[in-house]
Order: sequence, then C-alpha cells, then structure tokens
Amino acid sequence: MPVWNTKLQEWVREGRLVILGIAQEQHPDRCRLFAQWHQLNWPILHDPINVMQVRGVPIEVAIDEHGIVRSLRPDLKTFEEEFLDKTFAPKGEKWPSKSEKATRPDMAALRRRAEQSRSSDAWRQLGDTLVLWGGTRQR
Amino acid sequence: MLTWGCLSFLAVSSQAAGYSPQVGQLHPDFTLPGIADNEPVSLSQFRGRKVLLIHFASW
Repeated sequence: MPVWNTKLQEWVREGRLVILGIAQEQHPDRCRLFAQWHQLNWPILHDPINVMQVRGVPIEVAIDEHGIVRSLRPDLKTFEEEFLDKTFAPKGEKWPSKSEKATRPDMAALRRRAEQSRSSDAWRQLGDTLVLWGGTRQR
Repeated sequence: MLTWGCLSFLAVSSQAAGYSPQVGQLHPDFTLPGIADNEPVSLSQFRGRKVLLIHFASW
C-alpha cells in the first residue's frame, strides 16, 4: 500500500479519485497510529467486527462514478489509463439519484424490527450496529 | 451425520454471505464510522466520483 500511496495522493489532490480505507481493526487508536505511520491521509472507516464479511486483506476495489465495480486489485501501472481516464456508462439505478450525507443507523427502528420479527438476522444486525455505533451513547 | 450436515450448511451459508464484489456489478452500499471522528460515511455519498476502496488491517 505505501508503494501506491504517493501516486494515489496525487490523484486525490487533483480531484480525480476518492479513496476510502476500511480497517479491520478492533482498536481505532491502533488504526490511527498505523495511518499516521504510513502517512495515509485519506478517510479510514472502522469495521472492527467485519460486518462487511471480508475474508482476506488487503483488497483494493475500483468503483466507477455509478457505483459499478470496475476492477479488483487494480494494477497501478494501468490504473490511470484503464480507470481514471475512462468514462463509464451507468448500469441500472439502485443508488440514490443524488449523493446524500450518510446518517447513523436508526437504533430504535432496528430494535423494533428485531423484536417484531424475532429473526436471528434482525437481532444480529441490531447487535452489529450497537457494537459499531455504541448504542445511544454520544461520542 | 446430523452434525456434519449442520456444519456443511453453516459453511455454505457463511461463504454465500461473504464479501465478494463482482466486476461489472453494483457495489453494495454500506455505512461505517470514520476512525477520526466516528461520523458515518457511506459509499453512496460519493456517487458521481471514482472511488478506490481499500480493505486493510494493521496486523
């Protein structure tokens, strides 16, 4: 990843790319230190309980302006030509029609859903959400 | 036999539910807290921009 970093920073500065890191790390402080050490100054998200169910890291996924996956583990040598410089056509419209700021999950709604449905999936989702976001505790 | 059947079912279930983005397919949206400020960030809020998602760990 550090090998990539200089070039990636340049593309981010130019406004051509957004980088999102997702860290499978239980302790955010440790993750912050790692990011500082490797000079990763792009947003890093925290997935301490692996809600995304990633089986192995690292994985890099290039996603176009329409949310379509264009390559997995892209090659730095061809990344600019085959991804950044290309204009991709939309395919289906499942994402919101315009970008909106993310919001925290509605804990009360998740709890109601779990209690009403009594399904293990709904309870698991509530549990994962409580671990990730800390319940009603304000941070 | 019953135990083996249950284990096989669990293995298949977990495999089917794992993260497996497919080239040419819409990436599933997600919302996770940022490590810097614990504020929510969704993939879909970057619609219209090219995104490189990097899954990593410090260990």
